[in-house]
Amino acid sequence: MTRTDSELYEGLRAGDKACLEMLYRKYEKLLYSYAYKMTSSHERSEEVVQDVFMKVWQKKGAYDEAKGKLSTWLITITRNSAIDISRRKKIDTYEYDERDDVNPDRDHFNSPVEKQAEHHEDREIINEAIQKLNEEQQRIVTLFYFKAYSQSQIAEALDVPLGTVKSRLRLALGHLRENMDPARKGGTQNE
Amino acid sequence: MNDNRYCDRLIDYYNGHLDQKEEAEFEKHLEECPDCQAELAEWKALNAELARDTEQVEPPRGMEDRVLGNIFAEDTEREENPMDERDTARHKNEKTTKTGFYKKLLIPLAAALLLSVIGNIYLWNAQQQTGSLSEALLEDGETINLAPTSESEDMNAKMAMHETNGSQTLVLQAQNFTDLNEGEVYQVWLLKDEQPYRAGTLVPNDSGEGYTVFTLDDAEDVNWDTVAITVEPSPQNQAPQGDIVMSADF
Ligand SMILES: [Zn+2]
Repeated sequence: MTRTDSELYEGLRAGDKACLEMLYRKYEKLLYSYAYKMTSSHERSEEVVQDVFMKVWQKKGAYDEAKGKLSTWLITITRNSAIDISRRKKIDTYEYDERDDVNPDRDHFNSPVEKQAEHHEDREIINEAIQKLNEEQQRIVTLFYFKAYSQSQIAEALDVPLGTVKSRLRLALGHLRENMDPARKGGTQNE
Repeated sequence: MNDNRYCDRLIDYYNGHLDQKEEAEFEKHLEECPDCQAELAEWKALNAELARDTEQVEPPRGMEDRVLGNIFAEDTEREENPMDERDTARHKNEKTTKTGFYKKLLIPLAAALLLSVIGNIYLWNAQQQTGSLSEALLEDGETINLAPTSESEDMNAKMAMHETNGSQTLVLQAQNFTDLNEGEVYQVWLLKDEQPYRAGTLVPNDSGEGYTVFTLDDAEDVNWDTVAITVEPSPQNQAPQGDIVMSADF
């Protein structure tokens, strides 16, 4: 019998390596794929996944069942880790990027998350639900979720006033939610 | 009650654009603001669904072994008294690092090496077990102690240069480095005939410890005369503008 996520989590909290391994095998591909979507780099994606399970194993931050599925929690950690690792990487390799860069100010806002994602944008398969949005909404969702832009970077990229970013985002996410829900009904209930 | 000033920071909080102080302030607000809590929860839930919908990418061969191996290996490092006599590298390492300082550095250092250029990762892995990185740092190069510019400072920094495949890698470890103002960074410089060369940025953790691993890829033949650490107003500075806080001559 396979164990539930909660059982695996409890087990690994108690120091059971086998539970961590099982949890790892269950989510490796999902988290790796998502990390790859965020970083567009195989090396960094592996690093991100390692960071996630390292944190889980070393009990940095606790999962609270009341707050939702374990997989959602893992995805959130993965996202934060991808953001951190990409930005830190930027500092470490600044020397190389900077030499070719005529406009360092602009580049400052262009972390690898963003830069590489832009690079791959046309090759990337955008989630179906996002594709149903209008162009501006697609863009705001991508900038917000996958490029992890700040509010002011989003305003600049879309050329809209800063104060309107949040309401535009809400509107786009509202539509996105509507697009996703029919798909969700057909999905699995329990992970 | 909610304060719009704070609610407007939710995007920047979620996307990691707040500095430590702002983040702490926002988290305080978050505890008391049901609107932000609800919105953040919805963002996370929606993001999780997008993530589950993401095109699947095959993880590289051997990733599970590497990742789990690294996690459990670090576990052993973290234990007070690893008794595995067969692991000679680690055993030897234990003897050379009495203070435990370098042991603590292993975690960030391993991360730093992963972050450094890919070539380096393979190079390091090929040469050394990850468990004996600190040993490599200490024994593989000549360690230089940097002295603080001001007598009153009790900052410590050690560095070593490593020659690898025609390029130089600078490894620097810092202790007792104080927190800087927002936007400021510690910047390491190598100098030759008073010409500065950027050699990495140092970001100390909460306990004032930091490290940097920096590969100077086109400077393999340079015999540096000085290493210095400055406080710079921006990590983008090409030439030092800030005050030198520590330095040493080679
Ligand atoms: Zn609020």
